[in-house]
Formats: sequence, structure tokens, C-alpha cells
Amino acid sequence: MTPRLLLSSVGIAATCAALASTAGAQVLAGDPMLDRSRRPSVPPLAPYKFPKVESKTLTNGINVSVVENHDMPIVAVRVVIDGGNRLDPVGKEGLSDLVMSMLREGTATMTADQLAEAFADLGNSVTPTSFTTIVRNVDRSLELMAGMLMHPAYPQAALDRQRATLVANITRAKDQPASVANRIMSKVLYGSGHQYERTATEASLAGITRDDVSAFHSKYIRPENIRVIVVGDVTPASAVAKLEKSFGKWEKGGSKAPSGTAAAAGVAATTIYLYDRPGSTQSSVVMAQLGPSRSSPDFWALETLNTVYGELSASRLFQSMRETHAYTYGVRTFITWRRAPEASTFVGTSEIASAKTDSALTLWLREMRDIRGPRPPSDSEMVFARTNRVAGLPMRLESVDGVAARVAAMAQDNLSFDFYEQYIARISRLGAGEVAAAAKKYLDPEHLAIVIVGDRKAIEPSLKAANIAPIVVVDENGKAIP
Amino acid sequence: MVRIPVSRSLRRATAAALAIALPALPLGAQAASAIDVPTIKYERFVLPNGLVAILNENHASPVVTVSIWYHVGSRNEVPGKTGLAHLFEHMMFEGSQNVAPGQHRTMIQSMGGAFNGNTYEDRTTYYDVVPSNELETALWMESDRMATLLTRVDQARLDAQREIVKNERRVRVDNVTFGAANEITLAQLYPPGHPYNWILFGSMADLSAASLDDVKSFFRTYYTPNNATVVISGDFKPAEARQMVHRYFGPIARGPAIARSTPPQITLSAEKRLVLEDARARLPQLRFAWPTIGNGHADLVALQILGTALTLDRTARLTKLLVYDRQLATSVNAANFDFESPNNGIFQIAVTPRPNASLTEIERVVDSVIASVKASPLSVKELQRVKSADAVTTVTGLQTGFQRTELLGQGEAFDKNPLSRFAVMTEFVKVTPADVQRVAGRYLTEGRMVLSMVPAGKLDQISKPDQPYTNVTPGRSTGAGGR
Repeated sequence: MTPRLLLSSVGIAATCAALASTAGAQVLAGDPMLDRSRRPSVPPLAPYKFPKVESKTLTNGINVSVVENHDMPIVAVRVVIDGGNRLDPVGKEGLSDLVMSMLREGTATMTADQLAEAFADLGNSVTPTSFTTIVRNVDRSLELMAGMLMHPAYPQAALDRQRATLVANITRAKDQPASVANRIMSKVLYGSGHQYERTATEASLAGITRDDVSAFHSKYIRPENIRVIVVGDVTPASAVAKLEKSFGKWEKGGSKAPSGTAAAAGVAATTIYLYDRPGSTQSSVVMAQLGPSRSSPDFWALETLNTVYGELSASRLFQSMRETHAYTYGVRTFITWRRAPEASTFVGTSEIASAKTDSALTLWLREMRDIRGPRPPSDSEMVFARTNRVAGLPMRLESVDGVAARVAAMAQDNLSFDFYEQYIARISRLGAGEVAAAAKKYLDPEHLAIVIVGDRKAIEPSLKAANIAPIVVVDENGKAIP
Repeated sequence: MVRIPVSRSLRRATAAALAIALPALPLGAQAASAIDVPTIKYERFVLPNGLVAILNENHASPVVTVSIWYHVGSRNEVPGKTGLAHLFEHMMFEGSQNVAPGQHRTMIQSMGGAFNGNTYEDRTTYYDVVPSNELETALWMESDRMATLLTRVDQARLDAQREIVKNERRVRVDNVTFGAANEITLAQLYPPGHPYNWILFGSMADLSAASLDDVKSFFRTYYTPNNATVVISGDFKPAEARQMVHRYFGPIARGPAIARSTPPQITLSAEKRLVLEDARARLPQLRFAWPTIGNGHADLVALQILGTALTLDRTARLTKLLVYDRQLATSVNAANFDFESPNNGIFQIAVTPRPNASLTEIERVVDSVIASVKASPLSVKELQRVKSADAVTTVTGLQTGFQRTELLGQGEAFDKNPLSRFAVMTEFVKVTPADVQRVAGRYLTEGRMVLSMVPAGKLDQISKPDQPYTNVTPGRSTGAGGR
């Protein structure tokens, strides 16, 4: 545990400087005959264990998870509200986002400006779902957070302003090619009417009333549907006591958010959806397909496959598309897992120099076909991927914020807190055969949606000539333009 | 790899909040005495070849961060060779005598670690975050490229990285709607030949022209032990780490002394009204910028406080008026971006207007707020808020080894004092409303840039279209406009 100082407002610099020691007097010689060709042999490292997560329940039923970490006088609090955009009623897309922003617009006892002043007095902002602060500020931060979650006021003027801001953000997102590509992907991949196909529009936002916001809140932002995560310089007992004080009066109830639907359409056959952005110097490419649900036994193999294939700069795609061919500054793939039974999405993104769009896509698809058969993951690639995932855990959990994010993600996906023990065990014993099988089963070059936002005039002729897949020119909603 | 932030300054805008300890809050807010400040203990030593090493022991996680600071950046380039520092950074990952091309990333990632290189205007930093048992491997790799990089550098590797760096410039500048704004800002505030006149990505033409000799001479001049600082933070035994630093870096020969000069302070004699058009844009943006001051200048802290005070939250003056009361914008941000040179920085106000809002009206509101901070001091409460926010940010911003190496490395590289940021904290606490009022008057003068960014052809949307302006749209013959 790092020692702390309680400092007064004067003399801080002197105090800190006094803690520094110098060791310049000791002279150790560098050996000019040093043999640099030998990589140092390093001692083994003790096996890593994910920090212990203590589960507690408040008297009103709120589920609480606490991780102690006394290294620094810091506490991170996260609130997980299950649901999100998938709870938006048809025709009122954007409702959940609007509710979340309205929680900051004042409470029964404080205006939004008074809230802002309270945050400023603390020195840390508090959102309805998150803050990280020094120990001294925790109680007051929780009190403010609870006020926003429990007693939002929804002033009509603020609702109108927030609505206008969301509309402006939708319009402005159309100025950035990656945002356009992602929006089109959501339109073409999931099928009409799917929860992820429906996105907020000016019209859907215009139809949302204060009553809609209030109804959503009293149904889903309630003890039944939320979980609280506390990480840092607290004990489980004191965390629960603090939460009872701030959240204890919150009346039991509300509804658990319904699960998302398993069904999603995907694309019938690999298709290039081309959105014309004259003047683009690069093609912004998103390539995606549907994958299995979070509860699939192939989860571990698919995650590890992704590390071999496209997750990192030492993965195949980056090596090939950037280092060997310099078509791009970067390419990466990732899997968006959602709570079961929803399908996952296997996604790849890259910004490709316009003149290389056809060559890069051809190469990308060749890499995909190769890993499914002719060139399956090798033993050395498996060692690389397994070690990266397992040995890398402590580096992703170095900060209180990092631990809080991981615990929140487990809560969000409804996983048990021994997930990382399973993770280490399952990935450590994965063989190349299992990962090769996952590649064959899930990487499907015949059912890809490929969205390209780029300069049509510059890239379409060579894309056609390369004969990669049928090309459909689309608008910003993924609709074919005749 | 080699992901570089848009500029060093943008990072500093968030991370360089400097204060820590606070006097009791006035005006009956929460009674506050002081803040728990985690100590940053370190050892510093210097090798005979001039390399500085800083060790910060912390056993909270079985992780160690190694970061190597080379005191060189785009500022050390010359016109005609812009972008060289960043291009060179890429060459550092192309292998050295005992580390094959690509092996750095494979080795670090096979440990589960993270690495990168970051080029800024005034420094270039390489870091490796690895499991603590791999500290020696990280030092071996970093020292190998400092000692032997040129044994691998060749034309083919340079040409490949040149294309990748051009792609990076496209991602971050050319393909971004209004992506030219940063390049224009530097070029308009700092005169040709001034070391902060160009962006660190350089120009495409200069990147095309960079030669193998340029790269080699850059390495021999700047990538020397006497121009480097090694910072190690995390789970290690200091005695062992000290020996490793000596073993791997000690044999590297000292390089030439580097002459450093302090660039002159710049003021603009009159307002520059500029227009940037972009055919890919649907909505306009508006930016104001002044040439100001940088690291170590006596007025810097007050100027930083001013920037934060204007847009810290919804009650801050500029945000309140533009976003809430008048609802002309969806967001606004004000900050002073400081360069290493005490004479140079940029105070910038960036406004994201609402659709259909008048840029002229926004400019009037911004000017009214600037006039108000010049005319009378901030309230004690406004000032106190900035100090509180900075204090908490500083403490919560030291959670990881990487964050600690950034703090210690920058202090050593720029100020010869690893904890210089903590020294600045004392100044921060002393700043008064009158100080802030004074720097507002001194730096937010008429000698500024006002950049209207509009969809191509929508010149009626620019701010104050009746006034003369210069159209600085790239690829367009520079033209004057206005009636």
C-alpha cells in the first residue's frame, strides 16, 4: 500500500520533493562486451487471479458487487442498467438515450445547475451511472448519483434541448465516414425491424414525450433492473453501508428488462454496400457477419481465433494488409458479444488508401479463406494468442477504473464472477484444432456485409473489375440508390 | 501501432490539470480541508553516457511499464523535412540488430503486453507495458534499438513505412471533415520557419522526399543516450532494475551535444479572418485561436485556469451562454495548449454549432464572454471550482504505471525535475482572480485567428461574411473574400 500524506494547501511541493531520493552516487559499469544477441531469460511469474468480487444485496433488493483495492485513495462506482437501445419502442427510437441524458437535468430537490455546482465543489463530475473519485468525495457523490437515478425532474425545456442536441449529433455524425459506415452496417446486417437495425431519427425523437421518458424510468430504472459496482479503497461492509444510506429509500420494484431476440437476418450473400463520399482520400471499410450467442461453447475458441486473425498488430491481417502491403494505417477485427440469446457480431474495420481498395479487399478475403482451411492457426500462433490473452489480464486490470469496467461488463452480460478463472483455464488448454474448427464454422466469406464509404468515382471501376462481390450503391440508411 | 494523439497539446488539455491541494472552500460549499495525495516516490540516476533513469516502485499489480523519452519532436524538423520525427518513430519498429522486423510487437503482445510510440511537437516517447517478470526483456529490446537501429534501416523498409505514415496522415487529417483545421491553425499563428509552424504529420511532399540519409542523421543526432530518459514504473526491485539499466544502456556511446534554442514569442498584429470549405461537410464549425505561451511561463497556470473556467461544466460562462441559455451550440471547449517552449502555446476556443445557428451570433457571444473576463475578475467560486477539478483529476489520473511514467518523464525531459508538475501545484493554489483577469487581457487580444468552417460553397454561413476574409481551403488558390 502506497503511503499517503494528508497535505495542507501550502508546502506540497516541498513535501513531494523530500520524498524523492537520488541514487546517483552508486556507479555500476555497463559491460562494453555485452552480448546483445541473447534474449534475457526471465523468471516465471506467479499465476494471476482476478481480484475477489464480493456480492451483496441491499434491503431494497439492489445487487451490489464490491472489489477492494487499497493501493490508492480512490473509489470507482458504476451502475449497470440493463437494457439500453433495445428497449426503445418501435417508432420511439432514441428513447433510452434521451432518458439517460434527462437524468442529469435536475432532480426533485436540485436543478441541473445546482447539480453542476455540487460536482464542481467536489472536483469530480458524477453521472447517473459513473464516477471515480477520492475517498473523501464518495459519500456526497453517491448522494448526488442517487438523486439523479431516483428522483429525476424532467423539465420540459431540458427535454426539448436534449432532443435538439441528439438530432444535431445525428446530423453531424454523417460528416464522419466511420460513423456513416457503422450506421449503414446496422441497417443492412440485422434485417428490417431488428432491435439493432432501428436507430434514432429526427422523426422518432420528435414523437417522444415527457410521459414516455417518465414511464421508461419508472419501469426500468428501478432496483429490480440495476446493479451497482464499487471498486477501490473501501471494504464491502462500508460500501454497503454507504449505499444503504444513499439508495436505501428507493422503493423496491420495476421490471427486469426483457432479453433481446436471438433472431437476426444477416445477409443472403456477400455484398458490397458502397456509399459515395466524393473527396474521400481513403475508403472506410466495415466488414461484418453474425456470430454465435454469448453462451456458445465455442466462445473461447472464437475469441482466440480473433487474436490470431485480426485483433492485434501482430495478428495476420495487420501483418499482411499494413506491414507487407502498406494498404492501410491499420486494420482490426473484434467480436461484439451481447447477453445471450442475442447473436454476436464479428466485425473488421480499416481505412484503406482509395487506390488500393480493391487490392486490399481481395487480400482481406484471401486471409479469411486461408485461415479457414489452407493455412489454419499454427502452433506458434496458438502459443502467441493464448499467452496474450491469459498473461495480459493483469495489464488490463491495473487501474481501479479498469477493474470496475470488467466487473460492470460481467454484470451486463449476466456472467458469474468466476468468469476469469474459467477464462484462464479454458483458453490455456485450447488446441489449434478447436480454433481451426471455429474458423471454418464461423468465418463465412459467403455471408459478409461489406460497407465502404469512399469516393465512388475513384474506387468503383477497380472494385467491379476485381469481382469481389456484387456492389450496391446505397444512401446513408443502407437503401439501394437506383 | 504507433498511434499518435492528434497533438501533445490535446493530451495535456486533459492530463495536465495541475493542481492538487486545496484551501477550504469558500461560500459555504462542502467543508474541505485537504486532499489525500498519493506520494510518487522515485529514484533518479544518470549513467556516464548521459542517460537519465527514473525508477518508481509500485507493487499493486504484477505489471511494469518502461518508457523511453527522446527529447525530440516535430519542433526539431526544418521546413522541407516536416514529418521526419514521426516517420522516424515508425522506423524504430522496423527491427534492430538483434530484434527482427516486427518482433517487437510480436514479443510484447505474446506477453499480453502493450506498446506504442508517440510523437509530439517536443518529444517522442516509446513505452512497453509488460508482466513484471519481463522487465529485462523490455529493456533489452529498447536498448537494442537505441544501440543498433541503423544496422537494419534500409530503403525498402523506409519506403514501406513512408506509405503507412501517409495513410496515417489520411486517417487523421486528409480524410477527416475539416481535418485541415489543425494544420491551418499552426500555419496561421506561427510564421514560416518557426518550429511550431507545421503539424507533426508533416506534408505529403516532405514525406515523399525524406531520404535514408535524413533518417540516419536524425538517429545519430537525437536518438542518443544523452538525449534520452528511461522511466520505469511498477512491480520491480530497484536494485535489480538499476543494474539492468546499466547493463543494457551503459555501453551505448554518448552522442553529440544538441544545441537548443528557445523560439521567439509570437503575436499577431491584427485579426486573421479565415474560411475553410469542405465538400464532405453538412454542418459548420467555428474556431478561435491566439498564439500564447507554454511550459514554465509565469503566466501559464493562470491561462490554463482561464480556459477551464470558461467551459468546465454547464455553469461555466461560455458553456452556459452558448449551449444552455442561447442554445446556439451543442458544445464548446476552451483550453490553452502549451508547447515545451515557454514562449509558445495556443489558446483555442472550439465551437460546435447547432444546425442553423448563426456563426456571426456565436462570435458575438464568445466576444462578450471574453470582454467580461477582461473587464472584471472571475468570482472566487469560479476559480475554486477549477482548482478542485484539477486536484481530483490529478489524483485519479495516477492509477497506472503508464500514467506515472508520463508524469515523471515529462517533468525530467522538459523541466529537469520529475515532479515538476507537483511544483506547479503550489503556483496553482496561489493564482488569484486578478491574475486570471490580467492574463485574459494580455493574451486574448485582437491578434487572433477566427476560422469559419463551412460546407463547400456555403460562404453565406461564415461568421461576419461582410468582413474581409481569406479562404484557406487546401487545393484552392488562396483567395480573399468579403465585401
